Amino acid sequence: MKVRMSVYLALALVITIVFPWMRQLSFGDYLPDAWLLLLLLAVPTPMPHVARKPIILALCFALLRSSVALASPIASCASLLSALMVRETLTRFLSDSLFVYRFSCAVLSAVPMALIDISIASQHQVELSYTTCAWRVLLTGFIVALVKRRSSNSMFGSKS
Amino acid sequence: MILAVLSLCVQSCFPLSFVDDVVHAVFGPVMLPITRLAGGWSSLFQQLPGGDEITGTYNSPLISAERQFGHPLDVPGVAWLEVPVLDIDEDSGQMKLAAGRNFHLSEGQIVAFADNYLGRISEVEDDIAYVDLFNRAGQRTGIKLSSRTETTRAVCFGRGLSGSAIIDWIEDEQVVEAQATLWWRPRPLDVAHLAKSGLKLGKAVSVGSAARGDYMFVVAHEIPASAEGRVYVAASAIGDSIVAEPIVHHQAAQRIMLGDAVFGNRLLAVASTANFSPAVLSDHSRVCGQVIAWRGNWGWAHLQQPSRWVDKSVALYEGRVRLHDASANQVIYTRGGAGVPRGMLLGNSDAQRFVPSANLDVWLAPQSKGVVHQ
Repeated sequence: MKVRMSVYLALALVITIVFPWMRQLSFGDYLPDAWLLLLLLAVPTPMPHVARKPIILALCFALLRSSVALASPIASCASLLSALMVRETLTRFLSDSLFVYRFSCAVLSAVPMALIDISIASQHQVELSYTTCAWRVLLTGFIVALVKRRSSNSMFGSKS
Repeated sequence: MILAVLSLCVQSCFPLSFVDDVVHAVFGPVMLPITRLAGGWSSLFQQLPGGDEITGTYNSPLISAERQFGHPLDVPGVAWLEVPVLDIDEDSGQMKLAAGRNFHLSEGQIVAFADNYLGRISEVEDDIAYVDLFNRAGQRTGIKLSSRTETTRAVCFGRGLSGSAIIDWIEDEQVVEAQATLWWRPRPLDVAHLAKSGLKLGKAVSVGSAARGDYMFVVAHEIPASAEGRVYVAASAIGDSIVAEPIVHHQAAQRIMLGDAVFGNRLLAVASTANFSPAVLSDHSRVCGQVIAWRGNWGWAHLQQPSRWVDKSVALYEGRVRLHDASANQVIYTRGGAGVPRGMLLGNSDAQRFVPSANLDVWLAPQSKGVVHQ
């Protein structure tokens, strides 16, 4: 299990180094947030009863994200943890057997991050259009729904 | 758990700066190497200008123009002390100066810019002085009006936010004409020669209607844009210096990454050993953008094209300073305030955002921090 977590952390580090460059490509503005995507793919649904490891993973991802973004570590933590929280709440009501449910779930999980990013942009008068955020949210939903087919393939072991 | 996440969300959207400062002080040094690494990788694919070590003091043409234009007439027995302005609230008639008792300012001294009489110092602290402009509510100022043949004395009475100062008392009302120039008249205890300095308040404008019984003359005046930078205080006794330079912190900085993982290439990460939180970033004295977040020894700057400095820039028109007219293409300079020093070059108003070189400078005018001009 430890190996898996460190693999995800290593992957996140690589993303941290590469992603700022990808964001500057012509289509880069519309790319979904890589750390959020990785977190949603890495953490199983439903989360383990003791969610220590997903939270630690979210905090590490937040720190890495903030290293290469204007968003403060607190804002990144808030974005990633609220994504996990929203998804966890929704999975109680929605089965993830259907694409549309997985898509809806992931889209709604990505919304808090989009809202926080918009808030940060307006605080600092940086341009970030709603359209761009909408694309990011929808792409996050699409990729998560496509890749994450089953909830049982947990990285942190079985539910306890 | 839910409460904790909600608290984080609230802090993200309505940040308390001291919380962010603590977090950045703790994690800033950890994040910097990662930023450098990401910046190094990104720079492999970006066409970035290099850097050279040419630095030096920047002599702003705007400041030179303000000095040249703003100095009132020299009169015997009076020295004009040059004092930077921190804030002007023209409507309510208050001005805050960036010098005080330590610069030998005292209450009652008159404040002027070029041939404009502005007001008198009303309160002095060690490094700050407050000026009551003549239009401040309740402020009475002696004036002199001239017609073609005669001259008369009058008093104008400031009304602050209620409107322009009114000409309250006129010795000989027959002399008053619309558009007559209103000359400042010294008080008995002022230096007598100041009467020859040619200071004026503005022009007399008639308002109201005699039929309604509210006909009166008011003072039409406008504070010159240059006076937002520095004004001149009349002094009959002076200290070591007659120029109070505004405090401006300046430190070299290095570009560490162009682009941000959330907001794209509008942002630039810079590192500096500055022991202050800078407000603005420049490349060889030309402003690249405002520093919007600082994390101990590095931070983020927002790269902006000059035209985005609407209301925060001024331009030189035939040697005189005016607020930048957005429709005209001209060389523009920072207006100052919010920690940004006044008079820094922004470039041509229609210029595009430019990619800064590797060696940069960060600046802060601490006295003007938080100040937004009216």
